[in-house]
Amino acid sequence: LVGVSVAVGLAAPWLGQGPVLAFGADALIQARRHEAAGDLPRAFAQYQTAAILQAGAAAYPLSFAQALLRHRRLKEADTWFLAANRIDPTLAGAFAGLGEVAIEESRLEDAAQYFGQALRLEPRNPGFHNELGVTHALRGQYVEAIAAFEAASRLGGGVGTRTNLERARRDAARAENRP
Amino acid sequence: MTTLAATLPAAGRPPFVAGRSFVSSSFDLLFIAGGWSLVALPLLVMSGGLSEVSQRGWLPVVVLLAASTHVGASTVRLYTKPGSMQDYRFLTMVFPLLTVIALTIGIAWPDAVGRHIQALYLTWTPYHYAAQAYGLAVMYSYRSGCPLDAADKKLLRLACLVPFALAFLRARAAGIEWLVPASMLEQPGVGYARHVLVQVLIVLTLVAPVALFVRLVRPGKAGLPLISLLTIFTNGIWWVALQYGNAFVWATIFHGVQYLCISAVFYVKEQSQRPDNRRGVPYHVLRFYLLSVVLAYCLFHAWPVAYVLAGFGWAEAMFLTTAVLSLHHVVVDAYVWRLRRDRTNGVVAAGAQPA
Repeated sequence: LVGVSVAVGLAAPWLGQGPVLAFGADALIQARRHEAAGDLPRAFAQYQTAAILQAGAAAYPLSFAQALLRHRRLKEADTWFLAANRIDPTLAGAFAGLGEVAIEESRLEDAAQYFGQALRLEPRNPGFHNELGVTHALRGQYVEAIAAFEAASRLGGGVGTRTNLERARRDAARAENRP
Repeated sequence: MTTLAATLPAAGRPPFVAGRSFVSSSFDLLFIAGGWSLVALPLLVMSGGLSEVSQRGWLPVVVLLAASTHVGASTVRLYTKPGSMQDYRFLTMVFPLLTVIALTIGIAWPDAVGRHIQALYLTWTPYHYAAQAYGLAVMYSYRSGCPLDAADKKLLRLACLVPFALAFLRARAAGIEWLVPASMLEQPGVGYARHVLVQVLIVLTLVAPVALFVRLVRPGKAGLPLISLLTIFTNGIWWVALQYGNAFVWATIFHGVQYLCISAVFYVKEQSQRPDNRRGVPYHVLRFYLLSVVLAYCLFHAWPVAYVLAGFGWAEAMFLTTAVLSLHHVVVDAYVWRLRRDRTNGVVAAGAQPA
């Protein structure tokens, strides 16, 4: 039985079914493939099983949480970002994910705190500065928002960051001119 | 076989000996005692550990050639060891079947069963490495003419088990977190006690082998050989220098290299002693390693794909195959390395020719 199974497994890569050197992390690659193909039940099942079996490695619950966030399953995403954070409290991506969930749920004060924590761990991440800027802008704190977008731009933030910066400057000017 | 330090008469003994090697002094110190890991660890720490190297894409190859292959090697040894099919009927015939059943059940119910198999694997593995460090340390003492009495052995075992205790306490979703409810571990007092105990064990991991080495230096008696000290020390430093997740992966690689080298020594001896042997050492070493690599590839990398093709998920197939095969390996190991009850092992460990 094992011999037949192994023979099938050996033939599989040559028939386009899986990599030649299958590895644990392939579980996430396969989950992303299912997700990209729109097969969300299979994708989430794979992300979740990987996160349960590798419950001591923060990368797996983090990947699952990010996938849930991409598909706006916010409550579950929050739970798995927290799980990743419990495993590795130095994982900036988990704080940033919690911040993104908080923005989506309009918990802007929480979001600012989470992005602040993410930035304490990775101060040179332009994406985190940009998200913090978005949070400030949504709270109407344009000076802080402009400072955050400028920091993101200096660190190599993309077109989105520059657009956000210009918009924050316009909004700040409009707010100043308001009677 | 080179002799690092000849066995001296009791009166003229130095306070310690380097140890009598199996292959050569440098080879044994570097690969069987794990000395090379002391060079590799700073490089790993400086490069950011696992994340950096895994991005380079060669980690799966290293895992196959060292970690997976060392598991394959124990199976190769079991089935090529003269008389093993008669001596270990359960281990060679029934246990593999139980392993397949356990794996299939785990893959079919990953949440209910698989997670416990995974936790058992993550909990038991550091104990297995500690046991190997102890076994190698005793073996080198024995063949270097430094006999250990029961009390010495007890202390040696304790020193070897400190890194296991550290891994048990530091493990996430395994070890203490598997066996003790989270609600209890989250109590402030318990969390603090765990943190303090981890710090104490980190210090003990580094200090205990040296303290033991010093304690065993006695007038007129050879103490622990230096190579035994290095073997215990390297197993400890793997769990101290790296974060737990990285430590687990790299300890498996370092342990795998160690295991492959010592297994090859025993395999070559066993095969060379066969009456019909016509081959030299390089042939046997190459054959042993190639058999182990091929078996490792089939079991760790091809077998899970068959489960995927049968309709199971990648995550459960990949992770649980690794876990179950590794558990099979630690059980097999407990039998194939028995020195007292196994004449061939005893002869190879002592370095003497069979009568």
